[in-house]
Amino acid sequence: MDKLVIVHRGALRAKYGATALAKVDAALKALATADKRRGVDTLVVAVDLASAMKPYGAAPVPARPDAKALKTAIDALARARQPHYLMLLGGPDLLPMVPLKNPAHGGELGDEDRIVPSDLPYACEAAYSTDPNRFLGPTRVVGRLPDLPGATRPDLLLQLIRAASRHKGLPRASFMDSFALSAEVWQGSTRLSLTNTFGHADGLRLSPPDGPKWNKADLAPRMHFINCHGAADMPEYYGQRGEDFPVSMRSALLRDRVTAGTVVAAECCYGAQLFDPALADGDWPMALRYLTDGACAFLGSTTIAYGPSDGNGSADLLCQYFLQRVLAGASLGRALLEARQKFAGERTHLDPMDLKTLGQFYLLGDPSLQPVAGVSHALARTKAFRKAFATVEDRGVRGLRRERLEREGRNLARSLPRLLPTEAAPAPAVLEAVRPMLKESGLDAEHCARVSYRISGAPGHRAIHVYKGWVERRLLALIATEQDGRLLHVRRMHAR
Amino acid sequence: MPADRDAAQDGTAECLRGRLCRERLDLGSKSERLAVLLVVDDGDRVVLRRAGANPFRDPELEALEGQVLIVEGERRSSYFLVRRYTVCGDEPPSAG
Repeated sequence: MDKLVIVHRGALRAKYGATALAKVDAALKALATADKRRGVDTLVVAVDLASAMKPYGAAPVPARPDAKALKTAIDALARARQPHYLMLLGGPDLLPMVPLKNPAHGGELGDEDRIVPSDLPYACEAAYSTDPNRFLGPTRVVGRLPDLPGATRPDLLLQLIRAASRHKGLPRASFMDSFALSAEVWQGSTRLSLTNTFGHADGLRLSPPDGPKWNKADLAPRMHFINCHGAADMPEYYGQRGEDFPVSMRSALLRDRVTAGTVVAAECCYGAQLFDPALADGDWPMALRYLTDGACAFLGSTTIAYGPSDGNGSADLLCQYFLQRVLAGASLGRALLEARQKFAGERTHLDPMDLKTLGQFYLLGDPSLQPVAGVSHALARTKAFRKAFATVEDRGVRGLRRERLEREGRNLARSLPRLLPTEAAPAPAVLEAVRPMLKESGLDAEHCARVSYRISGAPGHRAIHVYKGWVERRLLALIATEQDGRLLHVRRMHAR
Repeated sequence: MPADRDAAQDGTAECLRGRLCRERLDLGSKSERLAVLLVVDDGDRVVLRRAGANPFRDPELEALEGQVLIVEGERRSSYFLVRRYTVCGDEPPSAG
């Protein structure tokens, strides 16, 4: 089976009623027909029905869906059917996300998020856990076609299923123009991300002074890259210059302005959070407004994200890798899987912020859609070739790609070191080297706060020590990496 | 008197009393900011966000730094949404 659509019929019925469920069924049937034309065999699986789950030896997901039961069901389906695509139907109130523990949380020492709602575990073979260290090696292509939290009518869900059915890939040239928006304070980082992805950063818009009213011509490009601030339950993004944080984008102002098939990557904190519009005076989350206005994909974060003001790191990298894979012709879901693997794979170990980044970004959109249509080689256009592969179409090649991605993911899961909190103090030589750096930074090693992690699985003894303290009413952090009792690396983060 | 909590559940109406302060939060993240917090009697620190105001910069609340406030609103996952507030001056919270 090429594509599994994961549905919780009971939750859908409870939210929208039996009549609406019949409409969703009809829309999914049309999607399966459209997928078939695109060379994708699609099966809708009701994970809450015992009869549907019995062939896979899995228990049905309870009437009130929970992430653990859903993860177990998805694992059983993935093992049995080895789908090339897994599509979760609906938002978190229909199919919950996994509440991962936030490795960067620490009260005053870290960010405010206690948990990181995540779809990453559904893309991994490891069993259910809320420990993000368990999910370092994704192997599956996963995306979520959302609905509107708090809604009583399934209009958005139906619209998105129908849009996915109608979707057609376009030549790569159609995606080489971008709408790029950055908080002014992060423009150095954003220019680098754009240059890495599109070869230039021409046309980058900065906030301030630009926004939040964008016209249709501004938003016309099919690739959107946004590096602004976001906040929980807010239908807006924000720019920054000094202590000024103007609104850079407002969801209500996107209406009738987005080009069909647009792909969005937003680095913003809470950039893809799905909240009930009632929490925002009726205004929709940015991601859902984008999708309802024609975007086919939205990559964003559920929680507070990380990235430097200059240079690239964390969210910058995951977002640009995703867009680069889309441009290379990958399906949306494969683009995210490859981005996740590249992000995790190019590091010796993930620090708490990188670990959070890997878990917090997720794809809203049908993972099987391929925005940039593939250009077939000359042999593929011959009669003999088409005859030989008439029944399997793209399936065989796709299967080879999945084989490689599974191998890569398993390698990462096996080989990437884990981050484990530890009470162990830094080695004397490390403390001796760090103490003057702390002093120069205005901190005192004996009195500032420290959180330490042991890097389990790294060669020898490796640990990370995060020192934080207040200096002239500004928090400052010094992150020291210890290897076998010696200082291996150190970086300092200033409050901006 | 400790903060008067009419309801403990997330999202329901609640009333808090405490002193307003500003602190830099979420260091190193994309949400790093000088936030407005209410320090209530039991030491709990609650991030405030005034309904309809910019979550990153709210000059109206910032101008009340150091003052004791009674705020009414809803406690949400990572902040307290302020619907109404009353300034009690700079008296210590326990005096009220």
